[in-house]
Amino acid sequence: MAGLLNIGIQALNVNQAALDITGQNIANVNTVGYSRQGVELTSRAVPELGVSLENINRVADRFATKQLWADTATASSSEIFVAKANELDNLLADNNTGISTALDEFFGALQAGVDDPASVPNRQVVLSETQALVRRFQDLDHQFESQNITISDQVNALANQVTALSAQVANLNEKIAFSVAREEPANELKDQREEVVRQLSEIIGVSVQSSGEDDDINLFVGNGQPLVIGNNASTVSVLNGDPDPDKMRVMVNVAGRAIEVGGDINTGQIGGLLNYRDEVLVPSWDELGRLAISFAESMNEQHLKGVDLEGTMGVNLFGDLKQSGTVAAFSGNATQTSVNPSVLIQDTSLLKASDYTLQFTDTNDFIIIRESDGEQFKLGTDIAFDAANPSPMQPNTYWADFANGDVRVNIDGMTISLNGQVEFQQGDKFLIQPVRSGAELLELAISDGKQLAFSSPVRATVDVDNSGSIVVETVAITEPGNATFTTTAGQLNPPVDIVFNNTVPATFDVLDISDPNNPVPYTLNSTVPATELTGQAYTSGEAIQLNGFSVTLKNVPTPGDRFTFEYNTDGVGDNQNALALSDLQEANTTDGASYQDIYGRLVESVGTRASVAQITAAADKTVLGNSTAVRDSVSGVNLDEEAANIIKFQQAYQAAAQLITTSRLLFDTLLNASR
Amino acid sequence: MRISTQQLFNRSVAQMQNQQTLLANTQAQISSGKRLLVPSDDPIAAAQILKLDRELARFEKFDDNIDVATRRLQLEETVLDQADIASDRMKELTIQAGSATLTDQDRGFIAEELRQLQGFLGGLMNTKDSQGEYLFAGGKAKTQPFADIGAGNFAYQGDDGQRFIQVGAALQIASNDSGRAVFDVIPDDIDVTVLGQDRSLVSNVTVLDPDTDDFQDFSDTFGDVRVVVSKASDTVGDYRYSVLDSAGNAVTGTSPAVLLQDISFDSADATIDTVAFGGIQLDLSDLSAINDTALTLDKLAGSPDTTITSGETITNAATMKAFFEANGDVRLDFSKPADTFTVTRISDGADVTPGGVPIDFSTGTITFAGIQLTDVSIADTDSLDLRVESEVTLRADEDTHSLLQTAQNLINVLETPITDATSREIFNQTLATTLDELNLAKDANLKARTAVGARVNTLENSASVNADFKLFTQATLSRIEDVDLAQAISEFQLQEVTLQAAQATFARVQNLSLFNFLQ
Repeated sequence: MAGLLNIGIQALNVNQAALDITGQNIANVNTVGYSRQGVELTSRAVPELGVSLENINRVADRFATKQLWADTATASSSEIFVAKANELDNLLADNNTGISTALDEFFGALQAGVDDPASVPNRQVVLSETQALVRRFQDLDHQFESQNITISDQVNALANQVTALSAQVANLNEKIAFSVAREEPANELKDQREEVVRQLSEIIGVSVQSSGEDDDINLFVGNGQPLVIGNNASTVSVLNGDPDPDKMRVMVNVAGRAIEVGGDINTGQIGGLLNYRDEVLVPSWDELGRLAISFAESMNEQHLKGVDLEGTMGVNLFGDLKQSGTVAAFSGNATQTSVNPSVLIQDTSLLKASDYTLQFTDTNDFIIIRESDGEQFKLGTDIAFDAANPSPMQPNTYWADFANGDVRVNIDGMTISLNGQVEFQQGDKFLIQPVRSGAELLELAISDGKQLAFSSPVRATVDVDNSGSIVVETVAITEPGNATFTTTAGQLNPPVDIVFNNTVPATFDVLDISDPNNPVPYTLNSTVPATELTGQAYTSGEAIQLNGFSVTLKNVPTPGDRFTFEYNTDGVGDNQNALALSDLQEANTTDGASYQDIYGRLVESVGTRASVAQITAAADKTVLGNSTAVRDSVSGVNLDEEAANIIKFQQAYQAAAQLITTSRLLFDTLLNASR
Repeated sequence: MRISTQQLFNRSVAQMQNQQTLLANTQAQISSGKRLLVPSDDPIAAAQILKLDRELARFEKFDDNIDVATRRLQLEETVLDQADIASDRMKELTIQAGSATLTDQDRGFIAEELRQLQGFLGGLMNTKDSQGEYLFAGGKAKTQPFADIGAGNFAYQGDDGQRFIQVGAALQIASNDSGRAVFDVIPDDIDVTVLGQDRSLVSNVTVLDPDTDDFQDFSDTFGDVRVVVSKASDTVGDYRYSVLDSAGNAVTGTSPAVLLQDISFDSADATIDTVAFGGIQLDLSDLSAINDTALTLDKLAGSPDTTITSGETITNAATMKAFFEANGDVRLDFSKPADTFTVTRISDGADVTPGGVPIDFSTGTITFAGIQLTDVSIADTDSLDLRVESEVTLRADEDTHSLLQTAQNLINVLETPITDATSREIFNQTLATTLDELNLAKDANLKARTAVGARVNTLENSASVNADFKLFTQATLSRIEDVDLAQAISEFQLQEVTLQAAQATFARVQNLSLFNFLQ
């Protein structure tokens, strides 16, 4: 009887406990990270008989949880990537922020200049549209910059969170170890720990090392840098870029030493942000910069070839961006004495939208890596030595005085100059950013519409008594800085006559008519030695090169036919240079493409990146959904199940109570019998 | 599979959210009418749209340009019409003025009307466009093209510039014509221009008969001609001249009727040394009055001078002139291995070596008589002939004028009383010339109007071609970026139904709970 009572009491207790656990499960049905619990009961053998509560189990699948963490990291990375990419995507294609519409408007206004170059209001319109275009470039650059700053701020905040969460994991590791040592259940602590790791996984991809539920969870980031080992947590911080100021670095501080891990973090929000920055933002930024530089430089080049409303030779339309690139030494370089390293853009048509790294592989050898595609330029094979060290340098040549750290190298339309003063050491590295600041630094260099150089500096006059069919087809200014244009403002020095002779086939003399009454043979200075252009063979449609300009005559001359080329004084109605400027809209100025083609490519590439990222993000989300489902299906609370459990345990409890009643009845029966 | 309660919620909510996103997207497409809301919807199409938008913007601009060009050309056409009418009236007046019955006073009245007409014509030729720029000034839009330069003379002040305007993807149309091409078309009498440093080498250059085209034809055949004069010998006044065409060949004269190559003339005798060729004549002078810097040093053809690599420089022009004035052409005879040379006069073979002894040239540089020849390397028996000469270039020069000048000339004659046969003759000649010139002007006017008309036609064609292109581009653009409303709306409805179903089933599923039965 005492046994029965005992069994009944045990059963009451056990089922009471089971009901408590059910209650705990129901209470935590909405608790994030909660794993349902169950009771583990054991029957007692004779002689005691009865039941005992062996353990309160936490229903969890370590591997499902681990999978959940990994998938969380991937999904949160692609989610934040998409968010950022969409931002940029909208920005570039929007008519109010994109460059393409502004270019349309600029070239549209330029047509007004073509229609009527002498009209000051029209010129003012062109100037305003140019200013608007410049502002658009700057605004877009500013948007890029602010997105980058936002990313830096975000990463910084996230790094702080990582530090805090890592500390929590370490702390929980310690507590769980305690509980385990005291053989107390630590289910809630374990749930918390797993949830913290999950939160951590959202921020930064971690690799987890843990041999069992009761053991420590050790976390590593990047390339195996320890974040949490047992009850020790590292801190994560963000440092300024080295040397690229636009690329802050994520560091893990292990035992007082900061190790850069940014490049190896690919998942989690930090990974997503860094990937976005490196794969989308910076390349697009560079492309925008390149577009700005190539636009400004090609426009300038043409603008210099014209004359303005006042009749003076054109000046730069935009501020000179040839030297807007930067060269920066890495802080770890052995040689830190470099004086004014520089990059000079020489040929915008060859320019690439990329950063470059110049790295010394030896004291007298270096390679240059183009970051956009990883292309390597090696001395000797890709870049030839040019002992003459000319200025400007020829494409794909270099000159170096290694002993004095003096290096000049030309690739991709730019010349990089380093002047270390002492010998560079193996491993010395330089970051070259030729185009990054292009859009930021783009600015209008003239302030008055009258300064727009719409006319050609050369006026061609056909002698009225020419009797041949020959006509002037084009006059092209090849070198506006030539002495022909610069010696005396407002004059051609010298003015030129082209006179045809009665030879067969036709020849012509080019005459210097500085003194119109005493024409003397004209000297072409660009040849070595300089040549007097007399008795030159005539080919219809072939350009005749003169000093600083060339003329193309067409059709058949008769002897004595004459053309005069002089300064275009008062030629305010001439629109030749305006036409040439407007032709640049369709010209293949950069990389075999026009300005707007380049911009279109940028929009397309960002759009593609965004579109791919959207698909990836959707896939990652589905995967995460699945692994969440797997985890929830194991560990999540099902209210129906718990309801059934309530019934089950309640019935058992009632039965146990009945046992006690029965025991009492038995006892009473016995007492009554002996009465 | 076991499903946790939260899972059930989460899954249903996620699905409803998905449906809502799709619905919102479709709704945005329908309300904007665009299939592509952001480039990532279809990156390739997005790039294409940029390109097509750009095309459209260009075509819009071409249309504007066509308007501008048409406006200018129509203005030009109107002005040309008016000018033609004015020139017709001028012709009537000219014919009327020819009547023998008119008195000086009558002619004065005609002159008065002509003056009015001239003013009217001048106004037309100096027409400004709506921007206040001269229509017929070429590129010099702010310079009055036909200005009275004094004494009743009119000259064209503009240039040949034409303003080309882009009216199609590959079509540029000139939106104006220069006054020179349209009005300034009446040739003046042909004249000769003498060019060169010392033009006093020739004098009295005249076109023999301005009414023939002799000189014009000559000039069109031979180009600019050069008259070259050099001293022939040590005899005082013994000079030579050649007349060379632009290819360097001697031309044949009409007086003397020989090939004009190294013809002697004596400047010392009293006769005037006159030469005539190609419809012009001129008098020759000797070199004595010529500025010594105008002289050129020639290595004569046939001399083995191929070994002088750096050419020759004149170090002292005065010395050179004096030496060659005294001797005429000279020959340098070289002697090796002595590395010396002597100078002899070609006309009589006399040794005229300066200083009287052979000159050393072992350094490779010859210096004598103000001349320096550098980098000379010569074999033993070589010689070199040198000549010093002066030359001028003669160029046919024919200017043009406009009807303003023609009218002025006529007015001048009309206002001059006819007193005798000579003045009557001048009067008649002027009338004849005027009629000729009026015809020339009319031809040019007609030609210009035809050209302008053709251009206006081209503009109209371009406008319609551009309109077609625009339509085509817009159609393409629409196909790429516009949403198919029927499809979008049916999609929308489908998504709506799906969402509603999801919501309905969610509520139902949530109602299924065992706790409902635990009462």
